[in-house]
Amino acid sequence: MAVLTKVKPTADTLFHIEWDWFRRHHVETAILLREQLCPECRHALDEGKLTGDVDWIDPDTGEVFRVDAVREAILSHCRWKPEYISATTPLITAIFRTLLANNNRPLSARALAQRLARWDTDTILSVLSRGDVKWGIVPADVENEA
Amino acid sequence: MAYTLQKESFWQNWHLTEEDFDRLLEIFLERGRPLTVEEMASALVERMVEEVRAQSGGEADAVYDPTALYEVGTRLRFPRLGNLVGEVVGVREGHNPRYERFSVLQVRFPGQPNVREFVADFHHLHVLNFEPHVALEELSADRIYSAFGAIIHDKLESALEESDEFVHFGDTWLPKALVVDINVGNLNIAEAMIDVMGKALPPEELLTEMEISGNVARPILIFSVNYALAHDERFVNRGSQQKPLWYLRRLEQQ
Repeated sequence: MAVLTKVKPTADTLFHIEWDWFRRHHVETAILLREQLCPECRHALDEGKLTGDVDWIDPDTGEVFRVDAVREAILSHCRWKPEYISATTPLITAIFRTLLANNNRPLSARALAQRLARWDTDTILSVLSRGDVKWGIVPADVENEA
Repeated sequence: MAYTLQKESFWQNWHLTEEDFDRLLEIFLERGRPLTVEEMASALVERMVEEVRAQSGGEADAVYDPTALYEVGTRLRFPRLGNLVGEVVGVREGHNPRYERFSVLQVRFPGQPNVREFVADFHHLHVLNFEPHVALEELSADRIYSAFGAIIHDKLESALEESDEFVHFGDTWLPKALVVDINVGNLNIAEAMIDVMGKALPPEELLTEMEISGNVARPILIFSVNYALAHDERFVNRGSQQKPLWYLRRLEQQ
């Protein structure tokens, strides 16, 4: 498993999901992303209704990003549900879902702590920077070894 | 950024950065004299507005409106992107089953290698967090200061008091780097003058006998003398902060 050895991240280091990590580690992103959907969208996916690429519109700027339909469902629908990140959501899941909801635009541990009030910056940084890479979440400007 | 400067929340959360201190130093160098907090605050806001205008990237044909449709070649200003100006280089049909038909503009910005896309002819405005755009022409430093001057003033004053880089005499401030060193010799001259004259003297008169080299703006010289005297126990200000009159403490005690 890849280990974050090249860079010592700080509270302001930006992290994002490196999708290629899943390919290198033979992890099916489709299965993982399905688990992030709300029940309604999961049902739609199972019925074959979430297919292909879709234009997602950033509500703050009007900018359009072409994403797969599953990620668009998370961005437009699931992320607004209270259970998307709840009191019982584990930390790494919460981080992963926060990055998904941010269209995978990089966020620092400090920024994540502001959004995830349950955990402080140091705890989040510790989870992201110690040990193996989790769910492809790596510093945004670092290439990790396979 | 233009819109942001007009929001109270921006100023409530504003804290002076190194960039702001650099702006202040430039302002002092341009003005060549000590400034009050109010003058600094007002000048700082003016400088920030000028920078927003300068960053706007040139003239645009229109301000980007997601409900409108634009032709290829149109130059658009994007208020939500710091007023960047980009050119429409393509238009395609949008695709999202949640919405009725809409278009997507392909826009190229100077200095950016990739074309970026923006929604157009889009009428689901509840999806967007768009505030009314602020045309650059409407952005006014006077209006901003008039609305938020009290907040800006207080924050600036606190930052100056905590900073080691600025000093004040009375209600005027100067970067420490611009304060002229009034050495012990000149302070002794000031003491002797007051002793001989037997009365409190203004800094302008004390300056006439001091030996200070260099081509320094007079207001800065006067501030430097006042600042030095205020920090020397021999001297006491018998006048006001605005019109100081320096006397000797030991003569008062006689």
